[in-house]
Amino acid sequence: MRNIKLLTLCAIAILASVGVTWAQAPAATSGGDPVYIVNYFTNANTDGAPDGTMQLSNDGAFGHASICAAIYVLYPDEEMTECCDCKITPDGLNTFSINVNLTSNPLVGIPATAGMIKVVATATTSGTCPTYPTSVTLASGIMGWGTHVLGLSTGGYAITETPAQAATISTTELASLEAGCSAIRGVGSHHGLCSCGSVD
Amino acid sequence: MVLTKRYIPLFAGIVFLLSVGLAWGATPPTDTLQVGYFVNANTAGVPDGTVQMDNPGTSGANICAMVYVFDPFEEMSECCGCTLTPDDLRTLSVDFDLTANPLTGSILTTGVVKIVSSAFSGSCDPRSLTPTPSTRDWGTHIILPTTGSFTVTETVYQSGNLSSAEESSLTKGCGEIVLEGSGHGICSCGTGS
Repeated sequence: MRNIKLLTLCAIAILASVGVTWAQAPAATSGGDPVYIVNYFTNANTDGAPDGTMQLSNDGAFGHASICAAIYVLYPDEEMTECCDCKITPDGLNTFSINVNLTSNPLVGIPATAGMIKVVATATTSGTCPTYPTSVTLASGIMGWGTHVLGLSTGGYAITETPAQAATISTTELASLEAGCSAIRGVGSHHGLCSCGSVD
Repeated sequence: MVLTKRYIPLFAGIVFLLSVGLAWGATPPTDTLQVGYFVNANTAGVPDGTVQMDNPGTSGANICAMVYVFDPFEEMSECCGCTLTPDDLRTLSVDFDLTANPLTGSILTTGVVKIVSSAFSGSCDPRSLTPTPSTRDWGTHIILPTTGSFTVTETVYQSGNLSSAEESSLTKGCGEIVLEGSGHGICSCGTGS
């Protein structure tokens, strides 16, 4: 009987230690097949500066099925300005204009010149993506790249490009993105809805 | 049976200590160190470089981006702590924010930037770290080819594993800068939220 009690205590200790670790675990993790990627843009909608682009692809990790790219565009002060949901087929390539697709229809009428773009891979619903990504089911396999239009201190602009960076998304972060987009849907009268660019 | 009874408490103790060790162990958590470099800073005729920092919301809260700037001989030149709110974008100038106020007065043209994401507790003091994931960062590089004009390239900062020794070295170096620098050696956090 005493052994059973002690073994029970051992089991509780093990479960508790695992629980400590898992309680802090996020909803999804980055890795070879990202769930969540981030990139930035600067000098958008700026006279004399070229437009920037974002490219998205689906590496096919999600059962070689189409995924939805839940896109959230934020000002540098982390206020959401636009959001939309775009279908990305396996191995497909979608090209977005920063000026035209991601910042030209801001919620409050002020096009962003700089900010963050957050993209979450989500599952389709009966093969389609909802207009607004306000209640998503996580998927994986989103890949992204972005050009950056850099204003040079010596004058003019330079264009660079980097991959979007995968990061771990917390449940808090996901809820915040969904809530921001939900607010845009609720009060924006279609302002704040970005568009899905072109499929090359 | 007696042996079993003796060893069960021992086993329970080991499991408990292991569980505590896993949670509070000396090794800092992963995804807390980002590393980049700069070249040709503060150089006539070439543009300034930039560092972009974002809090992707991994912790679901504000974090501190603790910034440490080193010369190529691994001496710390400047350090500072910058608050990052989830989803923000903070832009730092290499010439003005990261190298304009060196500890020794020697302006860097080349060096390494290390960014440690740390828990936010009302302020960001780079002399003390509570490593917490994460930041995502980018840096431009001003390249001077042997022929022709400059070229601007950009890369993402690379993730490294923050060791306990490195953590101690960073906080100690920055502590000494704050203690002895009379305000020199403190970088600034650029623009953003």
